[in-house]
Amino acid sequence: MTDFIAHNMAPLMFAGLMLFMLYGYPAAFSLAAVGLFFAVIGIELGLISPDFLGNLTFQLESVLRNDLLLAIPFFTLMGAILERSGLAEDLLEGFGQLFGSVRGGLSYAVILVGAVLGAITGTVAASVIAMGLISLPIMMRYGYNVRHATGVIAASGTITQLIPPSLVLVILADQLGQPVGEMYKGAVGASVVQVLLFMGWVFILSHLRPDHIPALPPEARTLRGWDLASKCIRGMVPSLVLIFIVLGTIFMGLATATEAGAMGVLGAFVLAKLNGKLTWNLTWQGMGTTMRITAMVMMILIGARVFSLVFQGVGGKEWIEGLLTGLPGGVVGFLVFVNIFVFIIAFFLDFFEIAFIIVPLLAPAAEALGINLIWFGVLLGANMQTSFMHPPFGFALFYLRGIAPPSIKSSDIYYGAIPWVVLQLIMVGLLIAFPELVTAFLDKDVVVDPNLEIIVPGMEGLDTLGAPAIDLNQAPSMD
Amino acid sequence: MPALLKFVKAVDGLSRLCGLAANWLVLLATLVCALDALLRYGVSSLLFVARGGGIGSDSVNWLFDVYKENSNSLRDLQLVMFAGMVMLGASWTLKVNEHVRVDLLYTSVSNRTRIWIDLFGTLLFLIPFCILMMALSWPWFLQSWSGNEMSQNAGGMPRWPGKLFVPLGFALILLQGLSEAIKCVAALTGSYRREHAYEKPLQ
Repeated sequence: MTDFIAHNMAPLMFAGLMLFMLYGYPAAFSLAAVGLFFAVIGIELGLISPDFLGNLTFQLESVLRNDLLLAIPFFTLMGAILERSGLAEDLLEGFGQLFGSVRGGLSYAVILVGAVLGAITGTVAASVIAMGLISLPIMMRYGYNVRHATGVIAASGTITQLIPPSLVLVILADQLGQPVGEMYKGAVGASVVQVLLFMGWVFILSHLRPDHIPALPPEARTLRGWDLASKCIRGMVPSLVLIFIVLGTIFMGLATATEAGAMGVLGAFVLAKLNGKLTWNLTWQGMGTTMRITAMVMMILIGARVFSLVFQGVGGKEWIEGLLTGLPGGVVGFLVFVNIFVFIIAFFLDFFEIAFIIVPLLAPAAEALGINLIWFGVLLGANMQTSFMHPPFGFALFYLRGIAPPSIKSSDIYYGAIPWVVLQLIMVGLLIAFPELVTAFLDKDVVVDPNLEIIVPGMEGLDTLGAPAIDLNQAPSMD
Repeated sequence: MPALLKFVKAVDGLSRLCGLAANWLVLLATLVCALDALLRYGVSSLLFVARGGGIGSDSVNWLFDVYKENSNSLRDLQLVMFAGMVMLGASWTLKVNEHVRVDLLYTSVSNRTRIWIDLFGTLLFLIPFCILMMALSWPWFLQSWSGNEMSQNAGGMPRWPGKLFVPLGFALILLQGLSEAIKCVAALTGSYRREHAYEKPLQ
């Protein structure tokens, strides 16, 4: 018996993970508990040494002194402020009127505005809530199919997670040990294709089910000519400025993702102020939400570190690597399996848990197969969009439920999401089939070093901003 | 029981205070980081202009030096604030029940069963974890404090403030966990009503 346990600690620990998580206590502490429980067994069986857990302090270092993860509160706060800054209103009204005369025009407007908001912020909540509040009532009033309306809003809000600067990509970059700037560049092509897929679906629907997505009647298109143009400008100009502040500075190598996030918060404050929406109450609420989300996410990460430290100590890394690299079909077989696995596990774990628990297990195997980790990260990012779109962790759907009128049934919201989840999966398939969608945007040999040294010779060594890439594979040795 | 409920009240109050501090750290860290970035743009472009204009580099180099000597303090300050917002905020997040769960079972069982789940989870999962982390991180902090360990970034800050937040934070979570456990017992044995129902946190 003891022998059996000693030889199968890694699989047993993985099963223990499932059980402890299903128990329903907050994930951060359940994760740590799995780690501690199996550490005790491992020490009893002599698999790991008693002072092995002392390595946790090194792990804490990389969790709490991490430039990259500091982007979490910044992007969250930026989203919380932008959500109520009036920007989405201007964009949606402008685009909605612009495309109103076309069948499905409001849907196109929602998709495009979702993409623009996605290029500004990194969190789903801001986009879905703003678009749901503004566009959903209009779509209902003019006879859009309920399921289509909720689906397009949830999906277009979720695309924020794929379009840089996205929080998902920041965390994946951290977990995969890749520079976040490269991750962002790699996601550009995928984002464009995903937007085109969504718009293509609306176009197909406008021929298959024209009654589901009618054009706006002329009396609803109140803005014309100069009024319409000025409305669009009011939405687009601040958007472009914000996109430049956040994304532009990252791509030009002027700022790190973290700094860009902080500048984005300032930009959001200025915009909210200009629109007369900035109040202390709004700021304070944003600070509170941001603090709680950051604390929650980081505690999961600390718990996950306890788990993965012990898991590696008992040979989990070799076990997983053996399982995954032995799959038939080589690289494609591995990717197909991993993506199906992540798609399914997303029904049980939310995004952060997947990123902190599952991704570190997958990364060494992917690397062993010679897979470009940026491509792998974008692939996972595209896949994880689906976890926002289905129960039980479908955050996009919760937000929508939270703001949709009671007349819209929850089942409509759930069924409405299905075609969009399929479109997201098609995107994953396209990325597996055409890695160039990602790799074509990457610099071939230049590693992005977001410093000003290029412009000002003589400043070298001034700052090495690069967050120390955390590599779970290099957990401290056991002795 | 009244003494225990007094303890609950005191701990909840303490967590609230720390939570408020953590809220402020969010805004302060944002401002410090933005200031850091702005200063770098500013100093760099000033140097760029000055050199391009053929002005003697001595007249601007002092500015560059001042910046160089202090910019890493700003960076370290952000990271200390980050550690602070996480470790001070986690206990309040526990108090308002916003640590995310895998709630497949949790949402489908009765309220009473949920209280039992929380009680056992707190006693068996949370408290041992907190004790372990405190035991590990306290000597880690002491070493840094007594050795006056400095940041690896040139001109940075001492390291101990960031490290201090770890044992402190886990002590707060431990206290809050005890408070939650007492609330569970009170709810199971008496008429105490737990105020924060579990809702999925926004994300």
